[in-house]
Amino acid sequence: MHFLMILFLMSTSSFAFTLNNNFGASFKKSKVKVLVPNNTTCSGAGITVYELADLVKPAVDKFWNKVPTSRLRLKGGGFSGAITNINTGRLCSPTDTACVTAAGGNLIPQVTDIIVACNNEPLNFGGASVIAVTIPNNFKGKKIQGAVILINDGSIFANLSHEDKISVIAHEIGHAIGLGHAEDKDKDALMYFRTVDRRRSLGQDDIDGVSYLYPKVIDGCGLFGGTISDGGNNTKGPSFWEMGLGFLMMILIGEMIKLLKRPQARAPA
Amino acid sequence: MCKLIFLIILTGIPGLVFSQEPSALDSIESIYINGGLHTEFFNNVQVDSSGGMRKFDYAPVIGAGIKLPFNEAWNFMPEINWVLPHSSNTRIIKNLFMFRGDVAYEAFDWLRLRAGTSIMWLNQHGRGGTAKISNGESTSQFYYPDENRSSINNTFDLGAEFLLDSWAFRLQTYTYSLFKQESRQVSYSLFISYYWER
Repeated sequence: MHFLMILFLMSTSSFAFTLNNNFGASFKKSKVKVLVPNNTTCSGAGITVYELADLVKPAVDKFWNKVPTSRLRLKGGGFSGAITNINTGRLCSPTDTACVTAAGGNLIPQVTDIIVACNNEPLNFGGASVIAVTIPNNFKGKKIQGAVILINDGSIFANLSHEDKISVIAHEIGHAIGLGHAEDKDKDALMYFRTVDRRRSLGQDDIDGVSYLYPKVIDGCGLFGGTISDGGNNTKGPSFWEMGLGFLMMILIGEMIKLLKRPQARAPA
Repeated sequence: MCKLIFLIILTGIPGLVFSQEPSALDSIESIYINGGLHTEFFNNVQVDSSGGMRKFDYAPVIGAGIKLPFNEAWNFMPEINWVLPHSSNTRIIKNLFMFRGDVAYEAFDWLRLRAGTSIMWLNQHGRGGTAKISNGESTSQFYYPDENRSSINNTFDLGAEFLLDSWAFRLQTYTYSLFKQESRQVSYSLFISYYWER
């Protein structure tokens, strides 16, 4: 018993994920495309548009699509049509009126899904040391409709290793789906603001964050008391009491079958 | 569709077990409590900057269950477990509850094999607030979640339990997304259990 008590006093290292907005915005739909516009050019970043698309797919599959407790499924690696100003325009949040006004006709238009492109407008990045920026620029209420990831064409992106390029894009996708930076003490998380020596997987706080923004509800059966998910609108999941009710259902199934199989009483001849 | 079939089969097993007995509650042979450690997503969570992955975690888990015999060799063993929240995290309280049902086979006097399913109820309660966090060249304001949200998952479970009088040591595995290879993950618990016979 003393052994058990010691175990319960232990604790693992976990901090807290953050969100990039104050209303917990997330995509409404569960399946979101991550696309590269066919008119982007990444000469300063040292890659072709095809190589950029090839970086997106592992950034999606190796990280965000591996979380079983999240309903979000990203589909990466394809191309979208041309987007006006994508290489040289200003990227603004729709609520940042000063940025929108200053950009004028040079504003990157609102998009649907997630767009990954290269851009050489210094005002988007605030310096050459910033490798990329992401802004969800299309909202409907509290739901994200679309987000733009811009890789700084004048940054050190070209000098990064292949694995680090994938990590950078995966990190920016984290912002696009609604996550903020990990706390300064949480260096194991993908959403930490710096790249690490070797990035192989999400950290625990990344997993917790995407599970919070995109909670999964078991599909296919309301038998356990869980809500049947349509894969889209459920953001909070069933309550504890619904789940407890579901557990009792397992017991009741047995009792019902027992009643059905009970031999019928017969009147004496 | 395959998930639906899977759920029907696994939830039907306890039904078949109970159907052999005069009453489910009368047939309880023993009650047990669990204590142990839980590791979520074995070898798929990065834990250091050099690419190290989590293979073992110290997350404490407690629980209780009952043993309902089908015959001398087979039992149905429902249980509820609770992975306790991390004490170091005060901004988001995270609880994992497992609502489980196993069919257990008494392979030897000292070994019980289990197969079953769990409903994994992952609840995260955000307390809100903001934080200034480094953003490369400067800091930016980010937001802690302020809602209560739950993610519900179904797992396929296998376990091996080593028996010694009223005590037992168990390795219990839980496979998430059994039918989706891209998100399939395995978690496990190491339990010490104490049984009370009726």
